Amino acid sequence: MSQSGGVLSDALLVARKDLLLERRAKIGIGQVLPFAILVLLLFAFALDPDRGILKLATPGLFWVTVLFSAVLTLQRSFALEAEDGILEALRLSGMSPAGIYLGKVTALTIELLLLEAVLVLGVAVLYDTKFLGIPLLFVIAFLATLGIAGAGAVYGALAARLRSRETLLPLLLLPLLAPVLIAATRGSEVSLEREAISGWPWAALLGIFALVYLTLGSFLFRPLLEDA
Amino acid sequence: MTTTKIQSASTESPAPTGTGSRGTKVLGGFALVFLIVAVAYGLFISPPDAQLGNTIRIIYMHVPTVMAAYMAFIITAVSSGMYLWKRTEFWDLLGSSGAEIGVLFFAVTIVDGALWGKVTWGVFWRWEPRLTTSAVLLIMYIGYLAVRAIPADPRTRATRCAIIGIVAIVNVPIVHKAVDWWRGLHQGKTVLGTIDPEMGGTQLFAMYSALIAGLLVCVWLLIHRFRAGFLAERASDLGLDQALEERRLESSPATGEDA
Amino acid sequence: MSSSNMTETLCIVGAWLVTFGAVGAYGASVILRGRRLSKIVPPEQRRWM
Repeated sequence: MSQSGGVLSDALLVARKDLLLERRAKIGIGQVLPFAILVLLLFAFALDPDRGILKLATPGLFWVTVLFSAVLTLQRSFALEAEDGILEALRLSGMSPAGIYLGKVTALTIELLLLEAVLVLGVAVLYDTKFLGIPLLFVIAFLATLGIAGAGAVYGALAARLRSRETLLPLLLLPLLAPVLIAATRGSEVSLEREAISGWPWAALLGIFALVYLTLGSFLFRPLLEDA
Repeated sequence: MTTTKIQSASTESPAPTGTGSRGTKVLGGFALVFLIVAVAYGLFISPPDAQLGNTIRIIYMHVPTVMAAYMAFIITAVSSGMYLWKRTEFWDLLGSSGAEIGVLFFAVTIVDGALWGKVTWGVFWRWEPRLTTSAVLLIMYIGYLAVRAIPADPRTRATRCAIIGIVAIVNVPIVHKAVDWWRGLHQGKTVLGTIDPEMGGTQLFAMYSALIAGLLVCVWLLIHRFRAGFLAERASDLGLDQALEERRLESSPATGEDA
Repeated sequence: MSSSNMTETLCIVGAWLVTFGAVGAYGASVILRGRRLSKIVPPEQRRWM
């Protein structure tokens, strides 16, 4: 009974456990990352690179790829726990649900940010992208990823024990993340093509989204772990 | 769990044979009156709008349906919160009824909006902020109904739905804002889903009678849907009891799986 | 009648028909479901909460 730990130390514990599991299983590097790069290639096949569409659409394609990869990552991360009854064990261990939630979000954010870093390299090489407003790009990537992980952890845990989770998770999560896609895409567009002035409202919107879902998730994770 | 608020008054009257009651009949009657007025004024008596022309008659249907949908979703959200607090079947059933009716009205809203677009723009779909927002929200609540349809123990299913109901409503203003800004780069103010303050007398009358009719119909549907849901729960309890009974009688494990 | 007028009339009538049709059909299905279920559920449980 580690009731003295508090939310933050619980979160760190869960995050470390998740990252360790990931380092051992290598699903992210071995499967999700190749998938994401494959999607980049497929977009190039679908939108002829010589006509300039690819270049125009780069920010949107990048974030769509991130969203799909996030769904896969979430599915993997929570399927493991549902199968092995880890969520059950975590709940019974006396850890605070908010701590478990924030730990999951932290681990997911780190995993997704690493994936994005590689994808950015891929985009730079494959789509010949020039990067301008770097600070804005960093802020947008971080806040968008935090939002994706924050909302994703709630629905990932909710869908984990459903038999039809493979189809349900994207159906639930992707419409929820539509504003993140809009804001991240527009914000990245601004930072890639023009000077980074009008991109900050988008960053603010992403920040609000992340904050709202982190708050909501911290409260909803208790009933989620206990009953859903 | 079951409160006996209405039971006390009806101990001697026979049990209802459907989801209707005196209350729903009165409510339905009022709704019908407003609907008839709305049809008369909306389709025939009121003049075409100065700017929108006859397409304002589609707006007479569009605004009430979108308002009814939002009312249903707000009821779902409140019920979801109340369910997580009180854990009673009442809030669970009210929440799921609201979501289903909201989806119905939202789907109708989008079809009306597309028809309005066909007349106004010549195409069914443009990335108009209100229509786009509605499309995203519609799919979000279809997700709710999909989870609802998955058989599970009632408390589990209710908790799942309550969580989705809360998450979804919180997302409504965010989707609104994002889509507004997104489209704001390309086009001006929207007329869909709003009541123009410069509307004339009969036009306003048509709009408001349609609006009241829409909200009344929504409440009327909610009550019926809630009761049908309540009956369905009792019937499934019954089915479960029967199945247990049969199993006990046969004293052999039943192999047939039921959801 | 010009074709644009035709489209306009069709779309207006269509919008009202879709609205009334969809809501009406849903209402009817709910009421019929309620009646069907009422035959299964014993009367003492047929009381709303």
